[in-house]
Amino acid sequence: MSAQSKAIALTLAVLLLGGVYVADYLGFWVTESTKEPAKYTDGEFAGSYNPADIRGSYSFEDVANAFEISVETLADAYGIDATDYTAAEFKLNQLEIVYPNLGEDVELGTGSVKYFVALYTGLPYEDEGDGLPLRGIDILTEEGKIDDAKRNELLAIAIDLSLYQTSDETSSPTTETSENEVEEEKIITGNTTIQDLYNFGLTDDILTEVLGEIPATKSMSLRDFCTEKGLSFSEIKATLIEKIDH
Amino acid sequence: MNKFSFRKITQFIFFAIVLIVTYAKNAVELGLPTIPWIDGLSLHAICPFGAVETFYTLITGQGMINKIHESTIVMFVLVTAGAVLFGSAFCGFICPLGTIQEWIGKLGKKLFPKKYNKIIPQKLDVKLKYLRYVVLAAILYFSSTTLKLVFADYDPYYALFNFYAGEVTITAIAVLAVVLLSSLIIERPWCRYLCPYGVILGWFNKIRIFKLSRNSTTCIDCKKCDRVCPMNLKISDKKSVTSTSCISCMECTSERACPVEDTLVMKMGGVK
Ligand code: SF4
Ligand code: SF4
Repeated sequence: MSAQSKAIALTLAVLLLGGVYVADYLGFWVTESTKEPAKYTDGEFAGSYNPADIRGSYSFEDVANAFEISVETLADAYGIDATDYTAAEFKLNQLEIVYPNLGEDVELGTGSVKYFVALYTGLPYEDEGDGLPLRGIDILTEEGKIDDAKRNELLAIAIDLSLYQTSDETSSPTTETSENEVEEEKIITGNTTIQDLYNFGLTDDILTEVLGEIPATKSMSLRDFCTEKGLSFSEIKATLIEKIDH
Repeated sequence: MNKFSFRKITQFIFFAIVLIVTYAKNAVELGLPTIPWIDGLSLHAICPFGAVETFYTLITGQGMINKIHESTIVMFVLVTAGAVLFGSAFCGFICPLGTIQEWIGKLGKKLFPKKYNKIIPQKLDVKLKYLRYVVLAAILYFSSTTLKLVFADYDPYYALFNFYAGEVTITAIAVLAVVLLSSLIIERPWCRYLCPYGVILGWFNKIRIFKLSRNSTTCIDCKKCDRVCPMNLKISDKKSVTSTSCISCMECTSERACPVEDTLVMKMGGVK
């Protein structure tokens, strides 16, 4: 007799096949990505997908399926190299992994993609607090999605991802050589303070030349100063990096 | 000994199911002849181990990693329920990778009747079994830091059912080839030394509701159970089989190898 083996075989078969049947009946048996954001329920855009509902678990492909934007455009805007990741499969919550050194105040994640997609597609979007990649803003300009006034406004929240793309350029905090440590400290991010700029060797004269004045509060972040004075953080940052390099 | 085996029939059926549904999916994508009435599925969608790979991202609210779907979680829950009842019986009765190793092992037994499953010294065997934990830890670490299904690039199970579909890496095919070749001389080498899911299911052997138990008063100490165990476990001196390496194949029990009725059987709660 092999009653016990029979009992195990039947129990497992019923459990697995029956379980799948029940899960299917209850709607849990989802075997493919069906990533669809919620739709606007009223107004001019009722029935269209709402970028505000894009999730971190969506891939570029999921976003491209729901909105009039291509995977290539998204990959280009966010500096995703197709040799490291299959751009289509790249998930939005991987952005934080690809760009870990942006600084505490700098937000470049799902919120940024939502905003970018909204700008690209012309769909209404309210939460405009996230940063945008500089390349993304260039794409919006090149493709006529935004006017000059909007571009200037967006440059204040631009993040130049080319500065962070390779470990040579960003020097991760664990880099061992002291030469690289100096380089790493000189990276300007959203939470770099005015005092940090002095520490990088910049003088009052240079700050006056670039910023137009010497900021009174040394602990203030450069980004806050730029926002307050209506300056473009990314442009100021680029100029300051040039000065530091000299 | 009873030759008819429910276990082997179940293994065959599940192997066939996985082969058919993965082919049905690949056929549509590759333009091969399709199978009418059958909905193709990606192997990732039905492999319960995917839920382990995405465990970290799920509990940290990051959603599931690429290619893992709700169905994977359903499979994991169902297999876990089975493991609570019968320990690692999934390995012995269902897993198609275990099955194909067994089939090749049958040939191996014929080719190398003296050497089959006896070439690895016991001390080394015990040490090598810890590799399963290393593989599991590496997979958990890399899938949670990259949010990608990193193991797919090395997974012989994925390679077995998709090798013709182009999406499989050379590494995974090489791992599969090594596993299948070594199955000729070692019984279930993948399960024994490397399978990260097998080690998880193996832990259920310690807490399973229906334990494999040996009645020491009726046992005649013939050691037939030890000799048939594919995982080379020593059963004849134990009250219950709780090793994480046991695949619950039931080959040692009174319904197969053990010559004394009701001596080595599955019992609720085991023997105290
Ligand atoms: S140990 Fe792993 S490969 Fe072997 S049967 Fe179990 S799950 Fe399958
Ligand atoms: S023969 Fe017995 S002890 Fe060995 S793996 Fe099978 S069920 Fe477990």
